[in-house]
Amino acid sequence: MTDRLDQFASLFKSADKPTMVHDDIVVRKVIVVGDESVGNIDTHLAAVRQFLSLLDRDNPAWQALAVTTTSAVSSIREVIRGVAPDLIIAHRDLGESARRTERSLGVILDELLWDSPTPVIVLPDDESGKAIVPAQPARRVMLATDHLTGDNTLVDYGARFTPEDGSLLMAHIEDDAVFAHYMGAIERIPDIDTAVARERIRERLLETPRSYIESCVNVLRGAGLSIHVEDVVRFGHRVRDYEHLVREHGIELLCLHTDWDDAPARLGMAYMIATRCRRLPLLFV
Amino acid sequence: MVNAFAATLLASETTSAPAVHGHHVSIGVTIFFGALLALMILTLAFEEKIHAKKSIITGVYAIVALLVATAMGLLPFGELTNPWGEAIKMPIYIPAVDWGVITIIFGAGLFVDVTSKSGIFTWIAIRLTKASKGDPVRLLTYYGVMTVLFSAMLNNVTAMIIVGSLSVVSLRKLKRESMLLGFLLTEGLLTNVGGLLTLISSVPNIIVGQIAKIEFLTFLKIAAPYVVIATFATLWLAKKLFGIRRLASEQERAEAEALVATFDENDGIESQRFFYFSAIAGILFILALCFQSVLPLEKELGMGFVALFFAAIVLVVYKHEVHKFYAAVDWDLLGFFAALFVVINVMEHAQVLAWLGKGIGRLIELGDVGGPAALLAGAAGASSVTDNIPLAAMLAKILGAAGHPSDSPLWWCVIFGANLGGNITPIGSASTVVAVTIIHREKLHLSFGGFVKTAIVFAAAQIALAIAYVLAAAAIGWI
Repeated sequence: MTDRLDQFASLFKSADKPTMVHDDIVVRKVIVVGDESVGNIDTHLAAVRQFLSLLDRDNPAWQALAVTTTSAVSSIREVIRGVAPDLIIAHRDLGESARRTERSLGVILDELLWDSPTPVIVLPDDESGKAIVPAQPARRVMLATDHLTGDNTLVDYGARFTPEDGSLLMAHIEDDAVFAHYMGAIERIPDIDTAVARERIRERLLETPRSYIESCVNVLRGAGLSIHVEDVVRFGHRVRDYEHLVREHGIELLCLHTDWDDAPARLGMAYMIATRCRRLPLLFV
Repeated sequence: MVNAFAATLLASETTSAPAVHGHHVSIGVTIFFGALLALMILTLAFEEKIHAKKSIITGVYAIVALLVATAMGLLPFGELTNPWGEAIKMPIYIPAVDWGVITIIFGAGLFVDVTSKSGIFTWIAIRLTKASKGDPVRLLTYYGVMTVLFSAMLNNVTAMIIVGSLSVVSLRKLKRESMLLGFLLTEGLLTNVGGLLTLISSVPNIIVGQIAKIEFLTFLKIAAPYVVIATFATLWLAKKLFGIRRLASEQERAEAEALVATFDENDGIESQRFFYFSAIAGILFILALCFQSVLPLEKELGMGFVALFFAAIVLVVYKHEVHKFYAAVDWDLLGFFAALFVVINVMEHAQVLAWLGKGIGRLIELGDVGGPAALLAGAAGASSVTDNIPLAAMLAKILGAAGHPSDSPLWWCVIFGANLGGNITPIGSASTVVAVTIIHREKLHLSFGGFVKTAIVFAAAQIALAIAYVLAAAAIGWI
């Protein structure tokens, strides 16, 4: 009886399709944080405004915050809390221009990402490690996550930063290594048919995000957004595959989610991608 | 043919009473076998406690009964004769089994198992969920009616599993977990009402119907009005007792509608072709059962043949993997019936049924009103604490031996009592056991006493309605 109860409970849970609920993202206050490496902060601010001109629709209040190598992290945090922005723009190794890092975003940025619920755009840097602002607004935006289903916020931000007629690539990569780890455990359980489990679990893991993306396309279209939505849902190596997709699709802005209940895991993956995609603006939601 | 042959054998058994065969059965022997029968019923009541399946319990008692009865010379060994006068050699316990009942259960069970693979039942369930727009009152009504119809078409346990699982998923989705206990209890209680709708909806119906020779359509015609009345009375009581109300504001209604709209009824359908095939086969199956008594060939072959025939047709679709469906057949239930019929057959020869029949006769002698009312209430009381199948089988045999015609209201007292009695306690029927299992899986608190305290209101209303219905129907000549 328990088997049959589970069977029907699974059927009905499977029939309950994840649906996107759209909320229009409104950006009213933006703070641009930069150190001496960006040169004149007001010129930098103007360049950022040019890059994010699609925010003009909301007519946001822009503010610049210049930090130095002697700025205390706590004081930067205090200033940002005081402004209560809807978006923070920063760059790698903020306030640490003397210490260019390869495997880190820098102490201040780390603190902002961990501490603040506010989305952060991290600007790319050049070969010398100097922050640069793309001259043109991004037309090709990508969402990179292994938890796409139900992540309405990430989709909303992705859609908000995709200009009219631009394209939004929703990429969901299930980690081969994690799957192999669980299959290794399943293979050792005699009651479970390994071949069936492998096939059905793979199918299910991919079917759910596909179904959610389908709902996103319908909802975004219904909301009157004229953006092209593409999707990539597959198994692979999360970091390597996202990097590959960025190159393959000519992505100009990459959106990652960091604000989850299991933030360390999520941030960990986003961090890995962030340290490898240095030439690309990143939006941490 | 199986049916006709079984009927012939049954007829020969009916005349195998001690007086006819000339062997004497002492009161001591009858008391011994009566005690054995009581012990078997008691053991069945503690099935869960002793961790033994029904087929094993009744199988052991059947072996003991056969051995002792053979030793005492109670059984009519010898060759049987068919209507053409041909002698057939057969073990004594084979003609003891009512193969008509077994083939109906086996065939209908297989048919339902295969057709449910098409996703048709989950499709109906989800369509109704969406049609309710997430309103609790509408949801309870739709789920209640669906429980009744599924119990009538499938079996009570499967109906409870389907509707119960969906209730958990949909009420969680709607964030109305506080209503889950009320929904599950109501559905559990409605399975036994739905089990009354057709001749093949529950095992007591099949057994009594076969012995009383009630036709499918006649059964439906008599049972349906009661099922409709009892269903809506139960739903009305549930709304009052569990405080289930309509959504008050427009915003609540819009939110609830959006939440249930995410269910996709087509998700469980693997093949559209098989889906439509199953739907058509299901309709034809019901029609064939309805008109079996007037259809040429089927009239002779019986309802068991109809069930096996349709099972075979749908199995052809899965011809490469029929073994999976054979493995899913409830062999415990079939073994239980076979052994039970053997035990009852021995009890007939030991005069236990005749002795019990005298007691029933006294009940019936309470008058045109008191007699049926007492029989129905007595059958309900007995089936609330023990398995209603042996009860129905025994009472049907007793009424059959007493020569009651198929239009006697007493058959309906047994049918209504045996089915509805299961609603008084959580162990009264398999479907209420399923309801309680889901309740406990969902970590909702419901004790044995708590179930009885709540369910007794519903059961009392249903039984009172049944008594009134049988008496009124008999008075106006509907039965």
